[in-house]
Amino acid sequence: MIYSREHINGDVRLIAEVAVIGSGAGGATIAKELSEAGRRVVVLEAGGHFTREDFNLRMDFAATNMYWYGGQLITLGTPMFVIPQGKTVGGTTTINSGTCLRMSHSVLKRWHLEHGLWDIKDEELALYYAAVEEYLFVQKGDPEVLGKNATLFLEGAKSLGFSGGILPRNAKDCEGYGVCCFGCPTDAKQSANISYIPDAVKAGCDVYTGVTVDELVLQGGRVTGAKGRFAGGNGNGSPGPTIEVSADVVVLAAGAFHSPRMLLAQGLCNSSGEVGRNLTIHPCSPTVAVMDEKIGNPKGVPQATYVDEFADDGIMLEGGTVPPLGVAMNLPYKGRRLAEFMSGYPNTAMFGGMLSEHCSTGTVKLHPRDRQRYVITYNLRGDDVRRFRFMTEIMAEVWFRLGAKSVFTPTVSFPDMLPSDLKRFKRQKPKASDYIAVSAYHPLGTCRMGDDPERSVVQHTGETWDIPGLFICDGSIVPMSLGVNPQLTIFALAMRCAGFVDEELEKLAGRQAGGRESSSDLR
Amino acid sequence: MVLRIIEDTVRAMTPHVLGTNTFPDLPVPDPEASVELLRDWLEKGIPEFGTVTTAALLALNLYSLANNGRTLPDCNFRAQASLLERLFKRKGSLTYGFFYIVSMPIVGAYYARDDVQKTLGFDVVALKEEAERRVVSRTASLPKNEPGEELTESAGTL
Repeated sequence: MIYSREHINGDVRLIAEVAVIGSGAGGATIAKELSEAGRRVVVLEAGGHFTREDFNLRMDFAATNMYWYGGQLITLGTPMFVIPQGKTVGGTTTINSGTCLRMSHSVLKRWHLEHGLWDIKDEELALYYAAVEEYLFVQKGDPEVLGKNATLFLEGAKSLGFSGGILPRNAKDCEGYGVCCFGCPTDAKQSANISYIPDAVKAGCDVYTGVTVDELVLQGGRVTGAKGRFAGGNGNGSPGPTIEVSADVVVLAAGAFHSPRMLLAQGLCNSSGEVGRNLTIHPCSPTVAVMDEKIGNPKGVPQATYVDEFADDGIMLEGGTVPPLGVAMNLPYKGRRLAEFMSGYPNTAMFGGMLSEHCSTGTVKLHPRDRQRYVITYNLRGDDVRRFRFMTEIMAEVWFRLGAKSVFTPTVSFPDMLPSDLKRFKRQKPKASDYIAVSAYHPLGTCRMGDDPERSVVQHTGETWDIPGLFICDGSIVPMSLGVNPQLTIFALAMRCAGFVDEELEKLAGRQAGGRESSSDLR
Repeated sequence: MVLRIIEDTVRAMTPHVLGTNTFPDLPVPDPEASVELLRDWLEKGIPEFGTVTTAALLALNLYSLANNGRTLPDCNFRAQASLLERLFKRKGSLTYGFFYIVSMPIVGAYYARDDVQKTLGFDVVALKEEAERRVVSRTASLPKNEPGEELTESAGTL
């Protein structure tokens, strides 16, 4: 069952085999796999439980209710990035675009060579990927519902000789309502809230929502549970009831920000000093083109097509449409110019690009005054700045090829680029500070996996090096930027991790049985 | 006192930031909605965000005092427009960032309105109603739309 604050009348004490903290791609998969294997699983989720009935296509509703910090999560550094992260059952899978791409063979080879993760084999991972893809109905979008925005850009890119295609997504019978990032209103997107979590619940898992976990409980060096609190008392500002789960195994799956934050707050699992470090994100740059024809955004699939011509250089272009509110909020214009641009919204087309960093990384540190919060520092550096700029150039080039009258870029120097500006833009020296109001996605790496306890936080199994029984399974363990959207990889890794958790429970049961036998022998 | 000043400032800035007066197709702004969203953000958002927004709005009033001898809300409409237009035209990341922050509740409240979004071709009410009839199941396929039940196209009036 999925419980919320309304179901709870007092403090809650539970006993489970597995306590999972977080219900996103990592936590939901673990919960489903282990519940279906007959394990007693309890999930603690910080966000609320929203369903299709609640998803009203409104960006402001989604930001306020289903995004961490109302969508105001930003990095400190140059430039500052807004990083949308889901705070709801299903985690970020509920509010993402649904793109499901496997990581490339070369990235896995780098995991092997740079992090010693030889135990994660190509063939094994391919099986997990295939299982997840089948379960989530991953398929390329129906060309009839992709929308003009996506097909137009792809057409322009191909006319320049760029490679690209239609993105595979975890969507079934998608009719292109254009609001994946605010919760799918028809349940077409197979996010964890409508797939893994319901199946976990069907198999006996209990999910407690609106719970902030304060403490991982340790006994004799081993994790034995988690303690937290429901948000809000009786609406009078008093703290909510407490919840304590005693468990044989705890799986931390709170995402690349909250997982390290929780460990740092308690000073756990950091013998390597790597907790909170090695943050990679995908810095993204949008372009908005003003076209002669009506485009019809946001109707269609927001992230429907891609251009991977420059993928070897870490540049991936993926469509990304947003409703009028999203465009207006990010425009540099004010006054008459804002109204003029926005009244032309039906004729605007959008596309975004994301960068895999080569030399920029960030950190997640505890907030100096609030242990429940964190500070993210991140600076775009060196060649990444050039490539970030190059990404904007490519997209502007495509739009102008398609006859765009002007292209909005999130730069201070060329916010509104005319075709005649492109050469000057290309000549200008790229500066990170030139970018404002940019966003980033896919935070990874802050509790990274590896074969060396001095350079990593968890083993290839997901179990932490420092605390037996404590597993981490979310984007934080992915040791480097994937170059593609990471949800499919996190689902696949979680499925793999579930097997090791099950093994750990088996071992533990064996030890306990052995212990009982020894005790009886003694008697 | 501070809260009153920043709320009055947002109220005063609303028509200038949105600039809709010469675009009759766009609905009329509601300054009270901007103030309501500002209050909501200050109450529920990240505290640092609230501090920066408050500081930026107070700084705008200091700028107005230095240039017009009055706070922004106390200036007449024309003086407000002239001062803000001057600032809107300035280039540079500082001005860009400054207006990005102080305008967020104004732009956010206006462009989140159903009537505004509908005018721009995004009819959330009609699409939600339609989505209610097109619920997808993991175990069955969605029936094709009946003739005459095609999905809502852009319902814009512009």
